[in-house]
Amino acid sequence: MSHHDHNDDYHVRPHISSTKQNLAVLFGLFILTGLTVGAYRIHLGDANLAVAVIIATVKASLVCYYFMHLKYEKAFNTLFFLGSLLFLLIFLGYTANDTEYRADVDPDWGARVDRRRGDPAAGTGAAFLEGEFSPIPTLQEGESGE
Amino acid sequence: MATDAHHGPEFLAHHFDRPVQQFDAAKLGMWTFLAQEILFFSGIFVAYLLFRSWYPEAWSLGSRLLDWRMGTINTFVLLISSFTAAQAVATAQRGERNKTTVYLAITLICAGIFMVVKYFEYSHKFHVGLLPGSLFNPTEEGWAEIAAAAANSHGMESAPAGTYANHVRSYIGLYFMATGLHGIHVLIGMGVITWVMIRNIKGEFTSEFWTPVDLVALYWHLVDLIWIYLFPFMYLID
Repeated sequence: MSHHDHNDDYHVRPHISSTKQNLAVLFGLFILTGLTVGAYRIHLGDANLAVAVIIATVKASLVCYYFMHLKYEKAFNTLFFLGSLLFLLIFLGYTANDTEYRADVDPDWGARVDRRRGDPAAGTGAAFLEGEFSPIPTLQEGESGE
Repeated sequence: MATDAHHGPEFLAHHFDRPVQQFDAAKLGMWTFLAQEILFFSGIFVAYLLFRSWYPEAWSLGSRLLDWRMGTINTFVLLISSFTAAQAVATAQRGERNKTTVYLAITLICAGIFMVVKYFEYSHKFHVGLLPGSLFNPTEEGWAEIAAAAANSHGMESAPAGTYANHVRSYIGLYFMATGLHGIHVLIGMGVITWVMIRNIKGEFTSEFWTPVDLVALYWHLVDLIWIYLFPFMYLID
């Protein structure tokens, strides 16, 4: 059992963080904040978001692990909390799986959809809906129908 | 051990057998609430990431409508307040009542500084009409700011003003929803910290019982966690 500080089943025997440790964590958080601002100032372009997420996650982990005492928390509580992050990722993953691929050619209909609205894309949709085109994939060179 | 013939210490509610049982129940309840908070904010984060992937140029522009220096100051302020919240718990656990009061007070002051900085940021946005949804109605100064941000952004350097207004509005809308929701959490946190601090001054907490200090600190750390992501997401877009 990770909750080793409970050495009897009556009193609450917490782990008490030392001031020194809390200060060290705060110092680390300061450094990482400087790092994330620095990464922004040198203009990383496409890597901007990924670097920001990685640094923020390291900072968040420090806060959770030391300030929120996840290091000494009961495994069940930790599981509970981290479980909510799993559901956030499912929420994000499934939504992105829809919206990020809307511009691709639908292999069954050969039509493009507007990735922002989900409507038939401009220039192909109207004629297609009026039945002037048969629903057979008409791929351009270099496109994949998969 | 037991100060009462029927039951344990004064702080032990009658429906609990032992302090440790009461403590574990409180902690599980708090972690459940924090998990709910993550899910509560998840809609904002998912909307943010999808809109950013759809309109990267508007996000690059929108981020330049904010002052990254203000965001950085507020990040440092919130990190310090998280540290003092953690210190408040440690001192409460040691039964150092006066130190706990001081640490809670510093946490409150940091929260106040955060809201003052936020007030200056918001009042400027109100002043130039950069507001969410149907309230989006930039003044001449507001349009000048958008044009300056566009010239400095990636992907909209030469776009005529009208073409990016809608997507900038999306960014501003999300900025207000995300930071507003977070700001409301800061205000609620200030209220609860004040309440716990008053209880501490009254002497309700001892080295045997400090659960409310622990729980309010957990809530405060979560408010910090949300900001750790909101800061680079909103202010630091290349």
